[in-house]
Amino acid sequence: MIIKNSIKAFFKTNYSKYIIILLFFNALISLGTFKETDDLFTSLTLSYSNSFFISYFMFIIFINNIYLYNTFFKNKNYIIRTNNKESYSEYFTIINIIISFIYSLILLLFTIIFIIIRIKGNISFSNLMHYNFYNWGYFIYFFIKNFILIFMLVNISKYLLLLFNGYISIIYILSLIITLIFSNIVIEINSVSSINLLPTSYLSLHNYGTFLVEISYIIGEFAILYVICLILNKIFIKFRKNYI
Amino acid sequence: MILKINNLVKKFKNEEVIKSLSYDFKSGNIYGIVGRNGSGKSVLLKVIAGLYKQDSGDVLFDGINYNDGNNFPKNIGIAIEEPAFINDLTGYENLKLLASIQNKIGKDGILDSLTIVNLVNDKDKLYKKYSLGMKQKLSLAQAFMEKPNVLLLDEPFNGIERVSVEKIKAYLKKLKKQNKLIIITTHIKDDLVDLCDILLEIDEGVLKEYDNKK
Ligand SMILES: Nc1ncnc2c1ncn2[C@@H]1O[C@H](COP(=O)(O)OP(=O)(O)OP(=O)(O)O)[C@@H](O)[C@H]1O
Ligand SMILES: [Mg+2]
Repeated sequence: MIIKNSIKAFFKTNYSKYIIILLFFNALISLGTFKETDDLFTSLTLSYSNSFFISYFMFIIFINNIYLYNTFFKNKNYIIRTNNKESYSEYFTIINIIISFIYSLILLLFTIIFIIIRIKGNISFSNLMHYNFYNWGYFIYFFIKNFILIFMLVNISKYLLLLFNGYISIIYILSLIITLIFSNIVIEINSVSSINLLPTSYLSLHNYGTFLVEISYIIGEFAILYVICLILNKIFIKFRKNYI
Repeated sequence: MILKINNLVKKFKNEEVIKSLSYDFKSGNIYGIVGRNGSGKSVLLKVIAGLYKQDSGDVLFDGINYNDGNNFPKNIGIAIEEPAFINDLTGYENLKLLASIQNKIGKDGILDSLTIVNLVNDKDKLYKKYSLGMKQKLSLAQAFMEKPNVLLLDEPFNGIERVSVEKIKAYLKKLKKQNKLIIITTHIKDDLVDLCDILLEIDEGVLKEYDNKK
């Protein structure tokens, strides 16, 4: 109930409408990432692995996080009604995931529209991409993977905000964006020694040899980020002193 | 119900705002806490509400220490410092959103509470279009709506017109008869003499009862 009502309330704010305008510009970036002769799903995969496209979206999710915090989660009337710190933190995460996912679908819609206009309707389902996957299948995987990764990376900034302050969380997000832009070179990952330690490198398109290897790396990365979030959540519950 | 405060200390950096404060608040009473600006009235209420964690000492609601675990106190209504609501929602929508966290009351409960503070006629106005007094009224309606057992009201009558103040005071007296605990702060003692059963003064981080209540 509170989750549904908070999301409804959120989308009534003017702020949420400005974000949609920002998403429109985010989708425009995709136009620089593919050729007119590419098909729809290839173009989508190229857009969603472009570092500027990803960093722009990550920044939007980050701003959103701060807005949610300031309007809902720093609000004493709201806090006093949540039973305990666990559910306070849980509401925050769930509401944030849902809103971010809605935004990512809106971005997808804008991007598809721009791409279809540019490629003049060349929607081909049957082209093969990585690892002999059909291009649509690979894109769906890529889209979900990137959403989860971006969300988890931004979620860490939420804890930095809760435990320290906005400046520290901005420094964190900017350093992510910088590493993202500089690590986005297509590399061959074929041995354990070529594992990239930068979490943002998993957002880009790399050749891991086989899909099984790729998925193992990605799941490993998810697990690491998840554990980091769990630890930060524990620290927050134990050490956060003042809520407002 | 007894709200027991034992040797409470709250510091910011090295400044002790609350210094080993102890007091027992008993339900069925309205307490008035008077103190000058910066004397720690709001901080005390925030610690009681669990919004600030104390550096040492206990806040016990009938023996339960919510603050020590990871819980916020149950069944408590607060209107502390400036009202905080979402600008792009109406007054009513703001209350509805908050009410849906605990799901204890429905539309009627919200409207009743808006009636007590004389805000029903403006309930469908956007919060950002509210006047100062209307914002304060909404904050009080928010504190009252779930009929909590403990009410912490920080300078509740700021900016509210006389007729509404009288109506709210009558409501608080009614709550007192229902054995609720009400704690009100102010920096103008005269605002509270006709309302409170016990007047306290906060000074240098400790609470004292006024010797002679008028
Ligand atoms: N979050 C905070 N961080 C640092 N110091 C704080 C904080 N909140 C309050 N203080 C300090 O604690 C002291 C008491 O503040 P408090 O807000 O409780 O005063 P008050 O009695 O409510 O005053 P007023 O009548 O102006 O509302 C002040 O010196 C204030 O500067
Ligand atoms: Mg104050």
